[in-house]
Amino acid sequence: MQSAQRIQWLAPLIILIAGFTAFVAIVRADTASTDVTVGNASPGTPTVNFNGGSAITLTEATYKYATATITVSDNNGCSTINAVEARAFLASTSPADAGNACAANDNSCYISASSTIASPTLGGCYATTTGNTCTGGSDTSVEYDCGFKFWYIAEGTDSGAPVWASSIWTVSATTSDGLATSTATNSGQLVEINTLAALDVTGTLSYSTLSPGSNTGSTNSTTTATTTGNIAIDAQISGTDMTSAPYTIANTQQKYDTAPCAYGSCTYTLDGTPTTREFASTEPTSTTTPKTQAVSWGIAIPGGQANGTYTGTNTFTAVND
Amino acid sequence: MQGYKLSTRVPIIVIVIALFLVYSRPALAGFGVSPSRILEDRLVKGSVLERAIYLIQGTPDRDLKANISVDDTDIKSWISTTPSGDIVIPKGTQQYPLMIKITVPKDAPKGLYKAYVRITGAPAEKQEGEEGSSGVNIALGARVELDLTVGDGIHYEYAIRNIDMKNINEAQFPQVDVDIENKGNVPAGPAEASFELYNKYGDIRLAYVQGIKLEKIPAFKTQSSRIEFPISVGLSIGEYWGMIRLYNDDGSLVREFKDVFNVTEATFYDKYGRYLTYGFFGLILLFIVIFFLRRRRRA
Repeated sequence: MQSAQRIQWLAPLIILIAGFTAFVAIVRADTASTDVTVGNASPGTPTVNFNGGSAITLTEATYKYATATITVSDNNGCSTINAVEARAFLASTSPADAGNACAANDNSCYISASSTIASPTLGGCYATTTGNTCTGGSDTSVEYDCGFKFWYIAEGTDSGAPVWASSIWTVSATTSDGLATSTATNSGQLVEINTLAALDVTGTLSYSTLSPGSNTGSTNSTTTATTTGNIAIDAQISGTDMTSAPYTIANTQQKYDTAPCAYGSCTYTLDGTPTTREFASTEPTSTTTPKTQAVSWGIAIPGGQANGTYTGTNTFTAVND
Repeated sequence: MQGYKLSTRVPIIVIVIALFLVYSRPALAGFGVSPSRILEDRLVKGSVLERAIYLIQGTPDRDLKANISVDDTDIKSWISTTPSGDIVIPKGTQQYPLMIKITVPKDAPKGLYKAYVRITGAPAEKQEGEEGSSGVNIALGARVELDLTVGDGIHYEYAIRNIDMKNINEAQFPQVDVDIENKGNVPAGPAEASFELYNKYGDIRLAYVQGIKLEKIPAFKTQSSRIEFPISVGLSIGEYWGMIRLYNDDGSLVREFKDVFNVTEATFYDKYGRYLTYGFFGLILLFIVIFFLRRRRRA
């Protein structure tokens, strides 16, 4: 009876030891060394969001920043991404093919890049601090913000644009992890730059001291109108009477022309109605050599005009060429 | 007689001098308008068109008084602006918005129409102590050109301006903002949308939703619509890829767009706010019912 009881206890014990031994064997098998090489995954096709899809309104005579947000992914981890470059360029009606490589110019191509790329020409691409940041480890995607400094001469593409109405502005972005690159455009968007008709008028309108009954003759006072937008313009010119209370000199006493002129031969007579004058200046293509138009002025003082200091206002209104 | 009076008033040596001095001051700074032209060739009787334009100054170093007016043409009454008349563009404002609204009367004859909105800035007001007490001031302005065609044909055309995949929290369904510009004179836009959800590597599809109906955009308007895709799986915190497809009425694919989006942790209110709201209103309703029942019993 006792031996039978011993066998009853012994049998499970043997089975337990056998099982444990087998388990140990399995564990030992698991600890066999393995050799796996994780290859480089190319960066995924980036997604590009340019100015939130909105039209860009430029600022006359200076620049306006616009941003493209590039979402970059890499299955090896977002921290492997080490370079982002984006180009904003004048393109056809649909987003252009990826890989566009325009040369930088203020009219139609702007380049922005991360500092790891040699000599970025304008702006820069930086990993975001407010959007989708790269947390390292298994995080696979990160946002870069690329800034474009759009000068006032960037081509307008809205429906009223004189030349590029059927075009848009596209951003092409290229990302790299140091071993492979990937490129894409903002294919979900149609971004325009609005036309900007603008001007600045500098110079002096100085008639000096004149006697009643005389005029400025061939001595002109000159104003210079500079085109400070992205399209060619003309100007409408008008003016008020000049006053020195209670006296007045009619605005029609002033004459002007787009070329130097003797008073009697100046083509245009000033009046209160804005009248379009053709400017020879064309669409600006450079911020360093702006398009300008000189306007030469003369005045005649009616005989018997009371002496005094007379003031008035002449208005230049920018209109589409 | 007048000449005699004058000659007695003014010494002979200076006989005649009218001092026109005048050196004028440079204009304030540049001024412009963007866009400078509104071109619309698909208007019909009764159409209403609204466009935003901006008054632009590169160096707005002073408050600028300006006047906004519509030039006299045969369609002046069709056009209104907000604001209008005399305005002040505050110092520091480089881009000042101006809305132009065009309302084509229901009895307007078909034809080509032209109109202009004019913005004229005032010359700089002299500051105390500033040099120059007289002269010819230079004022700057700009003009918006309106080129309108009123016809009677139906034009159906739209453009998808932007697609934006939104970040969401765990309690939300995937959402996408779509900006659509209706370029035609009848309501238009994509008819349907579908959505595919992928894991963070973009290689395994997790869910698919189709047949989401979309509202048409009114004529000549640009609108942003948020599309929500009720997927069958709950999303945990992390990164996902979404693929949206937009279809026309005939089922043809208009646009396909894939982007990454993040799912963040939902707050207690995000998760249960809806139920709390229902519960709250349910309790109020219950109290009202009980109140009326008790009143009725007393009566």
